[in-house]
Amino acid sequence: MCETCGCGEPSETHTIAVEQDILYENNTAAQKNRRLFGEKNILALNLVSSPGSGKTTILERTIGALKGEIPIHVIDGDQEGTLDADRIKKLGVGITQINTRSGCHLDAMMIATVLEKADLPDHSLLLIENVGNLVCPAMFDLGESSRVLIMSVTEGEDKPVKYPYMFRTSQLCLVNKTDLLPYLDYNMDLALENMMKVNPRIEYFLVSAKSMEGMDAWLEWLRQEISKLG
Amino acid sequence: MHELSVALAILEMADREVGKNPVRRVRELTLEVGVFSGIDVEALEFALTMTFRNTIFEEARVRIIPREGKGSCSQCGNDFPMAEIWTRCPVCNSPAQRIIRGEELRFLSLEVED
Repeated sequence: MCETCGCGEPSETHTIAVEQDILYENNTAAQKNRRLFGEKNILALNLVSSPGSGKTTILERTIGALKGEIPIHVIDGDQEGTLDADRIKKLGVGITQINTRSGCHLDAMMIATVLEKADLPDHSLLLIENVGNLVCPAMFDLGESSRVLIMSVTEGEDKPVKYPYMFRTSQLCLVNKTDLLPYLDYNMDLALENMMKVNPRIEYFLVSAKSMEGMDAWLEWLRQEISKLG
Repeated sequence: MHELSVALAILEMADREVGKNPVRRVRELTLEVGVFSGIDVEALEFALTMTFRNTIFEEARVRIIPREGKGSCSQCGNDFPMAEIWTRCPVCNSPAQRIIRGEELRFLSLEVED
C-alpha cells in the first residue's frame, strides 16, 4: 500500500547507495587548480586568518619586496566591498576581488573561475587572501601550494586550540604584530606550544608587518618556494 | 556557517541521484560525519531543514552516523583512539600522528519509495 496518499498503489522502498565525499565537487575543482598551478609553475598561497590579523598589510609588504622578482597576482576574498583590493591595486599588481556575499569562505570553483579569466603568467606568484574567518575556510581546499595562517599577538594565545582545524591544515604560520608585544600580556611560549600541540609539523615566523621585523625570514621562505618552481 | 554550503552540496548530490531514478518519496538520507570533519552537526541539521524546504526531501529523515577519531602514530605505528585532535600516542607519547578516522564527511545513501 502506498504510504504517501493511501491510493492503494503498491510502493517499494529501496536504498540508493551514494557513497560520496560531500566536498567532492570542491575537492575535484581544487585538484584541477593544483594541476594547473603545477603546469604553469605558479606558487599559489592561501592566506587565512581571523579578521584584523594584518593579512592585507602583510600582502602589501610582501608585494613591495617581491614585485621586481616575479609576476604577482592577488585574489581578494571578502564578503562585501573592495577596500582590500583598492589597497592592493595601488601596488600595481594584478588583482581580482571576489565578494562572497552570504558565503563565509572562498571555494575552489571561485578560484577556477578567476583562473579562466585572469590567465596568470607562467612562473608567477598567486596570493589568495581568504575571507577573515578561522572556521569555514579550513574545510575548503583551493588547490593551493601552501596554506599560510596569520595569527596576530592581539588575538591571545589560545587561537590554535580554539580553531584547531585551521592550524592543523596550515603549513606555515606568521605570528604578526610582534611590535605590540611590549604593550600586551602575551605569552608567546604558550601560543607556540598551543600551535605545536595542534600541528607539530607547522613552521612559523614571528613578524611585524608594520616595523618589518622578522619579515626577512618570511620573504626568504617565499624565495625558497619560488626557487623550487620549474 | 559553512554548514550551509555543505547542505547545498548535499541537496545537489541528492537531486542528482533522485533524477536518475523514478522516486515517489524520499524517506531517509544517511550521512557520515566524523568528529574531526569540522562540521557542527546541529548547525548542519538546521541548514538541511532550510535547504530541503519545498523540495522532495522536505519530509525525509536525516540520519547522521557519527565517526569517532582514530590516529596512527608516525613514530611507532600504533593505532589509537583520539578524543581530541591533539591526542598523543598512548604508547610512545609522540604528538606526530596521522588521523585515520574522524575526518569523514560523506553522503552514504538515500532510502526512497518508487
